[in-house]
Amino acid sequence: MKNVILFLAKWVIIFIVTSVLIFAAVRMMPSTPVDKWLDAYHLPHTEENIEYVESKMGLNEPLPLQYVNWIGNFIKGDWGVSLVSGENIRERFMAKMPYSFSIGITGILLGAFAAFFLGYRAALRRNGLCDRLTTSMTIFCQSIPMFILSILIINAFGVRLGIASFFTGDGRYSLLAAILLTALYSVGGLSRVVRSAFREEMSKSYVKFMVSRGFSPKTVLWKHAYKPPLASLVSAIITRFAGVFGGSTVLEFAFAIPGLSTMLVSAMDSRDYSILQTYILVVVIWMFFVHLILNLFLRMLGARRSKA
Amino acid sequence: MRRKYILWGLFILFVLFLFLVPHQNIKLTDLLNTCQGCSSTHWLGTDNLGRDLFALMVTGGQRTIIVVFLATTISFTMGSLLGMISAYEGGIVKTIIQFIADFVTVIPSLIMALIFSALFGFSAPMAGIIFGIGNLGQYINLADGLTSEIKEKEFISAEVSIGLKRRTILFLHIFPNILKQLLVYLGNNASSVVLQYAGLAFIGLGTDVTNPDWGTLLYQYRGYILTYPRMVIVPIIAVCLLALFFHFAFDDGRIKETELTIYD
Repeated sequence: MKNVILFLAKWVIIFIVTSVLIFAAVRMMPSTPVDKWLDAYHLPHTEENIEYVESKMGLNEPLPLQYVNWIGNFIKGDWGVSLVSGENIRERFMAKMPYSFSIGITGILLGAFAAFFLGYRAALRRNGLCDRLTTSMTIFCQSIPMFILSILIINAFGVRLGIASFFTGDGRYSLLAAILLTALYSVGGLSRVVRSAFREEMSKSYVKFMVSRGFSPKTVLWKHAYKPPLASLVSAIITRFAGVFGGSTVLEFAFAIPGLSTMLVSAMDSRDYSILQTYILVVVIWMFFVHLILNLFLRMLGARRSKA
Repeated sequence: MRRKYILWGLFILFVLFLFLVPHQNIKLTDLLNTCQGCSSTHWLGTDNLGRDLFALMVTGGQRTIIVVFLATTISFTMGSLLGMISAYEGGIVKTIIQFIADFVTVIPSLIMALIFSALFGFSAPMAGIIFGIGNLGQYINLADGLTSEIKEKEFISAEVSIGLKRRTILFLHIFPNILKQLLVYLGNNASSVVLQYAGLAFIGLGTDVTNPDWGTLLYQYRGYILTYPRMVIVPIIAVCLLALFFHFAFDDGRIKETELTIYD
């Protein structure tokens, strides 16, 4: 019970600190939302106009009140409108989220699934085929940026072979390629995590004992020692999920997928601060759920709060 | 061990080369000589605007080195310090430091860098500082975990009981013991910073095309991949080689006798 309260308190503090920081950062910008709005409607920056827009946006109220209003509206579900296009931000987020989430969640889970098996095989035979494969995959992911591979894939399949069209049509090839790339880039690192956790179990006395009694080494590892490696895998995934927002930016950009990150990049380009503010809050809430669900899962595995 | 000395020697030569080699003006365009091949005046040829590709690569390399240096220095020093203190002190200090670690990991550093560079202008030191802070959490967790293990050992409690200063114990007796693992992580982290920075420049927010980065060059030349593959391949090779270097320079692949298990 105490842990639950601590966990919630921590996330409430994270939410508040982040929102205050982004709120302050937006107010420190060189160009104000008012200028942005006037520019968008091609109106002159006269004093009357500025005053009118400020009262319309509620920017003439004291800062703390503005902050409280903003957060209150966010929690009630009114996320405001885009400063540039005037669209409802919540509708826009809802339309874009499926893309980013399907890339991130499917890609990472696919990668984690493969990583568990590969890590198991790699631990079983040191310097065996799987061990070398996972090592080289890790080095590969650490030396070749995702976007370079994306360019090569677009070139190979879209231009040379002509079997997939990435920038026309319904975009399912782009989505597929992005998911597979996310999975590929997760497998290497995650399988090494699984491998080292399995190797740690191998040196424990209960495993030694069972193997000496004549149980097959494979069965011992697979049936009795799978929990700690699974727990390490899950806690490694937690940090990867932060990358659902960060890591997919490059992919969405390269494959022109209309996801959240593409929206963020265009919002930054046009200095659309209201989208930016909301985006950060959505990231925090997403990470809250990731931590909540995966920590519950870790609890089920019987692990203590593990170190990354 | 010999391999590492060679790698580091090469790296130092490479950095000196980047910062000292004379190169042509990167802002000079020459529309009569666009997309030329390699020659004695243009070592790597010219790009679509007739700029010297070698000069662009050197400038991009300098900026990448600055970013990697700043980012790893910040996260390594602050992260290992905070992590060691957190594990050693425990209690409220640990809670606060753990909170900082969680806080910086929640917002992905690429997103932070995107936001700050778009708002306050994109510069290499800025990106370095943001990547440094963004990766802090991992170092804190790692140092914290390793220190907690060491702290349980008997020589530490012996040192506490003979009244050694806390500073001495932390820096002279705990730090050398965890340094090796921290350095392995530093190597991985440095190569991922190289990739992150290239990715950030590839997206090209707030980038000034007159300050070329390897990622920016890739973005600008991606349309020429079929006609002039040289222009795309040169930055790709540069990014890969630098990242690979960081991976191997810190990696220690040897296994100790004690780590062998019943399965080997």
